[in-house]
Amino acid sequence: HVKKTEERPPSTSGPQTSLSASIRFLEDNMHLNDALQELLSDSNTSYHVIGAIGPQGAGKSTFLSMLSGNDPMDLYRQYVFRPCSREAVESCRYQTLKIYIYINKTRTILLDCQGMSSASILDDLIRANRRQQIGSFKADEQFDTECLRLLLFMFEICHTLVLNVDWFIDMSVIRELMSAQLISSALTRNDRKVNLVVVHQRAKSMDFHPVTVKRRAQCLKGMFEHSKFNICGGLSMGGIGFKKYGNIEPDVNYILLSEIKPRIRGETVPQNIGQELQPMEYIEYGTVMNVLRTQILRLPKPLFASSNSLLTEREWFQMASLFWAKLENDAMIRSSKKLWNVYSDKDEIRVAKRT
Amino acid sequence: MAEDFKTWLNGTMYNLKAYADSKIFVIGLVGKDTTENSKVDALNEFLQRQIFQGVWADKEIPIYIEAFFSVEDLTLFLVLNGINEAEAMTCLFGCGKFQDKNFFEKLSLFEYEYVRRLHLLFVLCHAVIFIEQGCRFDIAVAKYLKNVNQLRLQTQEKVHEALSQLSHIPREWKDESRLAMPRLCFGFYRNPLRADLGAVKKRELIEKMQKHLSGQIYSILKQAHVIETHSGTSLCSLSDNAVPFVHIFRPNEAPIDYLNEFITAMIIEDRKPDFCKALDDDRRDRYEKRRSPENIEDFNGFIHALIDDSLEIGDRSDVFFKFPKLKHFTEGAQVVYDILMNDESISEVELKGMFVPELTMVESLDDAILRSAIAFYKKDLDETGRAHDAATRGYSKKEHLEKLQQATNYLKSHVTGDNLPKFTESLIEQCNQIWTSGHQRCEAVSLTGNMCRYSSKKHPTIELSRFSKFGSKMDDDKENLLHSSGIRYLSTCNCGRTQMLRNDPFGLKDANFDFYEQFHCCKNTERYEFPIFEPREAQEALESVEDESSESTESDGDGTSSNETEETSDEEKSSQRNKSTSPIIKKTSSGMSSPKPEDFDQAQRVIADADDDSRMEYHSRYLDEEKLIQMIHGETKEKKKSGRRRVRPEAKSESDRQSDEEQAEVEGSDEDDDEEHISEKQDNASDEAEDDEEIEEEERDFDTEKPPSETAEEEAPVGDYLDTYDANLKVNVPKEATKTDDSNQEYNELLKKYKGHYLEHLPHSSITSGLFPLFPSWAVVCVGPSNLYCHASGLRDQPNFKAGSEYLLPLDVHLNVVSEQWEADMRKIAPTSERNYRRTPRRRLEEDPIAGTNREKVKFFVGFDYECPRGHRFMVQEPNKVLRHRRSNGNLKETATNLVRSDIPIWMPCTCKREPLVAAQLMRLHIVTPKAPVTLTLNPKVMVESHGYFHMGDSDVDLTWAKYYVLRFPYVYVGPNGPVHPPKMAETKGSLLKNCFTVAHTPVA
Repeated sequence: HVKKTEERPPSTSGPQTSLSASIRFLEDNMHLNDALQELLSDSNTSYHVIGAIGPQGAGKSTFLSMLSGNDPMDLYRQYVFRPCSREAVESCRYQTLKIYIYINKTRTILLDCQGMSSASILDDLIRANRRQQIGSFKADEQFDTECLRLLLFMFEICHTLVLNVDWFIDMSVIRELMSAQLISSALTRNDRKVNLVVVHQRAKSMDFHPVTVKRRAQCLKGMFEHSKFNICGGLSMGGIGFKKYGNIEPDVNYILLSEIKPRIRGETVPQNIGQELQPMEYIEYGTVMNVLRTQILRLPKPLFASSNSLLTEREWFQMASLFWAKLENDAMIRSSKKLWNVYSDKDEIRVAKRT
Repeated sequence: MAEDFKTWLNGTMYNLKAYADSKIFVIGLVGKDTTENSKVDALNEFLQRQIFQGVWADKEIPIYIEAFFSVEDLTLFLVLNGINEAEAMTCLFGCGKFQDKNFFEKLSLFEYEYVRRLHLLFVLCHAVIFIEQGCRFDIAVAKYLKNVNQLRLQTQEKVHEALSQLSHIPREWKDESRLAMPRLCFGFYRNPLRADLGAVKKRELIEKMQKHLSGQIYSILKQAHVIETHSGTSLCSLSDNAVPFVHIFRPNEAPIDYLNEFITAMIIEDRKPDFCKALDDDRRDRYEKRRSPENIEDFNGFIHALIDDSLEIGDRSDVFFKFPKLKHFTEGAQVVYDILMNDESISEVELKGMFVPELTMVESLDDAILRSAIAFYKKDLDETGRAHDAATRGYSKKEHLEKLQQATNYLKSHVTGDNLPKFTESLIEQCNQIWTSGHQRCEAVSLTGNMCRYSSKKHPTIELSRFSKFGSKMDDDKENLLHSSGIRYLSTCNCGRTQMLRNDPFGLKDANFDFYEQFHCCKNTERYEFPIFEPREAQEALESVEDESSESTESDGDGTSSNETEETSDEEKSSQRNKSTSPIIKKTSSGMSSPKPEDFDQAQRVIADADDDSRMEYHSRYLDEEKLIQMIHGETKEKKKSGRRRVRPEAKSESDRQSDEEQAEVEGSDEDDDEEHISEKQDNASDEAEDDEEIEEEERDFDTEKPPSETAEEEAPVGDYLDTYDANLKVNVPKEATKTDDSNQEYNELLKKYKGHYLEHLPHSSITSGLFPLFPSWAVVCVGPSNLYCHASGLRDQPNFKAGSEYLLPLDVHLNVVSEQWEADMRKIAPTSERNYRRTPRRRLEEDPIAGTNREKVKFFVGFDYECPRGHRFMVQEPNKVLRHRRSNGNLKETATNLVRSDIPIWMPCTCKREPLVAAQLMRLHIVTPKAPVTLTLNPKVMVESHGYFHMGDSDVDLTWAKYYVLRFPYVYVGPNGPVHPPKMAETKGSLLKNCFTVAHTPVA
């Protein structure tokens, strides 16, 4: 049961098998899911690839589900991208591992990436290495490399990246993004800019205050200027039509989403409620989401780096495969580990000296 | 109120004298802030006052430690504020303060200051609490701790030495250089649990989460080697399971979003009693909490437990070294503070590399960008594809500055931050260096407006004469340099029967005179001798002029020297020259042999077949039609007899030698656009085949020597081949570059010696000095008797004409004549044909019996012959309108009556459709005079500028009856204000003023 968004008629030929839920794009064994090709058209070039990144538990999967057509009133099990299970939440664990994909009827390709630098995934890796008697001292380096590869991969294969955050804003996340884009620039040596949209999930009423929004938008602009990211795409609260924010940094892609309210089966939110709330610093989740679904597709679609023309869906997949293989082999990634583990070697020396 | 740590250290012993001997506990607090929820909120709550409020206003960057001593708990609280605070973020990214720095440079401003203060906390605190806004452990914390541990190990000795100087400090503190191996605690503000859970369930789940988080944190910190079994290398410790080191804030502690709750309640109050009950529970809890602050589950309880547990373990533990007395703490802490905060032992660069290793990568990326910027600058220097060209390749000053600007813009768009000025400077320096060391191009401009392609230092140093005042600067150091724009044009001789490639001229003599002297076809034809300057003052000079003039005439045409050129005796030339001031065109006596078609053919054959001729070799490659056909069709065909000579490209093998890439490069190069001007009929035809089928057919009809099918089959591939052939043209270094000619130098000396005595440019209406030029820029030649031209078939021996355009236009001229005289002259001219001529008594028009005059009509044929740089030619039927005539429509009826009464453009768009479109220039006026006693007096006036006009000189040029004449216009117009360049685009420019000749009855001698 997937509800369809109504932007444009599907302009595709070829395979039209539609997915009922997201499937693996990148498998646990770090291979791309080749079966996916069956679902991709070899003529359609007017698709939009949107990827969600962000820390664990920031709401990436939920956001993508909503974007691909789910309704906040849907049951969790109806979500296209599986949201964090109760058990995972309660044990502070991740839900999504590697990358999941879903393609909706309007040929929006949605990619759900695992949480950035998730402590829980690293923990698993450390434990697994320990179990397998692999020198556990390698685990954090291995993990950093893997996180980096996933990010670099997302940078290259998406038109638009949605950075999901649940508070404003963790500099660790920003720094990780910026370091990765730096390596990406060194690796790909092109001027491709990927759209970056910062979506602030579970925003509180204080977060909605125009003055706060303005200051944050300015910060975001300052952080991502001169980077691989194009943060100025006009996808702002003002830009998508919320008059209160009309003149507040309207070009900065910064969207606020409040907490999804608990479901009330069989009931809809009375219309008058929204109107009553108008003067307050608060906007319903669904209200923003409804506009965002269409507006996000209006962001410019940067050409993929490997070609000068539009790629068909299948060509896109092939491009992604090639790039992933390149990331697997590239020495740049391996050497960039140094960025995160400067002292791993020096430590040992010092220790020896001291003792 | 909290104070800055340093201030607090200085003032404590005065303010807190009463507690000087109390043993104290020190807690550090670090973490992340949001606008609505600060990491110190919970601490303020614990202290029940707004103790920590931020004191950074006087700081350059908002990184500082706030200190507060709680006398109730005998605990010193140190709060580190830094990069994660909203103020810091705004300061770094939200305002223009550090606009010129890039992300990592901004970061590095903070990073070291932050890490060294964090280090300070780790050597002065018993416990350090990390506050997270979310509910996940930030693995970056592990990386920070690694850095801190590194710093600690580096500065340990120093701290130890300093502390050893103090007598009261506990021994453990001195030994370890720190108060304790601090206990780490973590507070997580938000929990992702559903709001509709009951309070009890929530508590239970939160405990579960705390347990899981503890496990993750332990595992990761252990992995990062900040928690070790060996206390010397271990930075910190975690408490055992009895006392939790992770605290997740309960809903009742989390910041309350009243509005949000209110709305939620409003929407669902009656519909969802469970949820509201849960909310009510939270509210009750909050109330309860205020009543009994000792609740173990909240943050207060957490801190209390931490302090109690620590104190209980006390000094005995190998984890907690010492709880010093307040007075001793302040004493020691001051020393440690001064050492750690003023530590200059590590250089700034090293520090940046340590804490923001990305900067190193930025630097190397920027360096790569600089290299690409330089490569971009050098692109056109390197990409010529031919070694010998690359060596001479250069930029003019303007090009250099443009290129440099582009490279700088590229750099500026890719490099940001502190590196930019440095790299920009480096770029400019390196590019200037490249430019000045051998790539500075000669600034000379050719007479057609193109730059010399040689570098100013690498000119072939050949003495050549072709430097007029306007061709190049006459500076001594430059006059011996041979300029070349690398561009060649296909140009036609005086009479129009032969075409030859020419180099873009830099000298006026080359442009308007020398080039035309090398053709055989019209070399010996009768020509009008224009008055030129004679250096009479010095007899030797006179002789030398004559020698040199004649020599240069023969030898430096297009820079190639000939040993086959037929020698004209010096004496003959001299005599011609001596008489040349008298404006006489040699009467074409019957003794003058009229050239037969075979002769033309012969003349062309000389060019076409002169394989043994060193001078011609180069050109002949392009002209040998037969060879080309063989190459293309692999068959031999005798095509020589074709009346239409075509300029042919060189043998294909030559093109094979050129790699395809080279061709592509040359074709792709913008600078060489003009190269493409050089063209040929076939190309023209094949171009037009696409859009002008009619003409194509006509052409076949016209080409009587070839069967139409053959023509078609032949021309298409030729066209294809020729598309790529242009690229070859530049390949060959002009022969002239390797030749020397002593006479040129002498000629130059002559120019200098007699400067001011001759006209340095073309005769122009604004100059009435009476001076003569050194050589004529115009030419008037008689190619033979008038019957050479047959109006039915058009021109037969003129190459490269647009199909259907190779006709002269009939022109009837009416004259009032003295009847008797006219009749008599007519009889003299054509005695033999009189019978036929007078078969019936001729009626005299408008006869005036009294005056004895009548009106006679005489018939001329004229043709205004245009030529483009590619050698394409056409006639016009009206000003700016190309003549097109289908032979199948019978004889051409169009007359030139209106044409000669109109101004005619000197330049107009050529018919060739290949890009870039070019302008064709009016180069020849064909005149066929009638067999009647009339004289045509030429007086062309060419206006190419707004003021004045060019003319042929002060003397009249008279053309006599029954001859075919060609007036060749100057190739370049150089007036008193310098050269007038042809238009770069296909556009109309300049004009030949109307009525450029007059006709009068001239009695026959």
